[in-house]
Amino acid sequence: MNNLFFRYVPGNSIIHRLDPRVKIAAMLITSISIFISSSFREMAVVALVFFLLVLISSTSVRIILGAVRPMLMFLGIIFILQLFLTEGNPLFSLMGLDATYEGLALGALMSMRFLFLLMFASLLTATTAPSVMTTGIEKMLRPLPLKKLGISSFDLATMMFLSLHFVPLLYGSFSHLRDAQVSRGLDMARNPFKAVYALSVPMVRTAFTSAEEVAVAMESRCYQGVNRSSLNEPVMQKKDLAALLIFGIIMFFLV
Amino acid sequence: MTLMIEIQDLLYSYPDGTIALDSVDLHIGKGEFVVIAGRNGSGKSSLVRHMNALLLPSGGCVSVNRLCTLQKKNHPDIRKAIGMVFQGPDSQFIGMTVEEDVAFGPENLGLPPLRIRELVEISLEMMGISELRFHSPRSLSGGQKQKVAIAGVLAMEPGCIVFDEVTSMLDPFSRKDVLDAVKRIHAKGTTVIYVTHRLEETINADRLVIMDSGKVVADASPRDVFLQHDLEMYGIELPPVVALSRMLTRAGFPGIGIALTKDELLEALCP
Repeated sequence: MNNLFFRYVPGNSIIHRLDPRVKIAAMLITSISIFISSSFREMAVVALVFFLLVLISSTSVRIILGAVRPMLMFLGIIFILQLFLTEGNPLFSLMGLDATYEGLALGALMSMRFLFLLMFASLLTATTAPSVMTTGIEKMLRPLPLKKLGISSFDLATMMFLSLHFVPLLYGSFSHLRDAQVSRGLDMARNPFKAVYALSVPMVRTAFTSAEEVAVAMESRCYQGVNRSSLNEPVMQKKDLAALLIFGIIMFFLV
Repeated sequence: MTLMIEIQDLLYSYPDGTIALDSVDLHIGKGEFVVIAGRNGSGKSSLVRHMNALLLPSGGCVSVNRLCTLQKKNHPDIRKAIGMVFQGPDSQFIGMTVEEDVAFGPENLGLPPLRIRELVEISLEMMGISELRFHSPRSLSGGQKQKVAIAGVLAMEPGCIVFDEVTSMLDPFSRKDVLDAVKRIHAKGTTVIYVTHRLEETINADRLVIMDSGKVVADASPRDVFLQHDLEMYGIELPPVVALSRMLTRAGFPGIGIALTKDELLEALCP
């Protein structure tokens, strides 16, 4: 899981080369479109756009699925809740709860919204190097008057970047911890509550320790949260803007 | 020789009052290769963490290029002058790819993108890991990881690099590989401060500094340290060749003294 979850896959497609700001803006437009679309027809358009983008960027389906898989349970819960808790024409009954046709439709729509949101997000992370994304976010935030609130746009961007960075790191230390506890006789299946306790407490400690270590490493490499530059400084070109404009228009008219 | 790091009467105690460093005096000149050795808890890591202002003295003074670490405004310049590579490579990575990680330091210095690209190229080249640039640092072997960490520091072009037990988690081959890289870096004129508890890695050093319970107990050329001090007392194991030559001398073999390398010992035994 740790090598597929929202992972960046280097490539050289048009989508890879787009300015990160364009991609982030497009992601915002897409999210809005997904949330205002309220019929299966509109969802089909979203799906079509998505598959086109996947084709253009030649992103592997495994990467997209890798982002979706850990969330399937969550999507399932949304679907079931909607299925049983929506009023309407009864479909079938289970343990005194009525599933309805309306619930089925609404549940499917809701879980599809989240599904596509996740998949678009994974497309964004798969085609944008994290450092490029950070720079993009930083550049987008820079004009905002954040300084007056005592926040630097560099700090915000680094925070986002680091939280991405910590996912595999924490997953790694979780596996180590689990192995250590299991090898000392922890039976996760028989006593799940004890397992949660035995894993979560040291996990929190490990998280703090590694955060501390990363902070020291960053500090000793002159990180100050101000005036950073970037290896891949994005340059907004006409074709980037054009791409955003076209994408915006498509999403606006179709959805 | 121009003085690079000046440590005077340094005292450092942990927040709980334990004294980690006790009246340490140490002067390190530009271009030197200084090895700092000592058992666990002898204070060697605390000492080097003072050199780039990660720790600040409780008493005394540490200055780098005449800039005192106690003044916060000096920290960026000090950290730019003194790079630091740590023991565990995993927790020092910031980038998702090797290239990005190496670029992190120069990015913090606010250099223009083209210059960063150039520095990244040079550092990767120097560590011989150019072909790994798009790999994730986490997927590499221990030795490769340490080389990435070293390249990340090299890219900032520091005048001095501190290696804090960088080889202690590596197998013998990777250890030799990393050590060779350290020697190459020193040969290019960078001051090297190398913390270790394996003295066989220190034979080429200009100076060997031995720490014990927060104090500097020896500071001389490796040969003189081996001659004048009983290092087992400080919990340090002698390199096999040195130990053997010492045993032979004690057993009455003439003309050996302290041999630092196999060849030297051979030369002394069969002239």
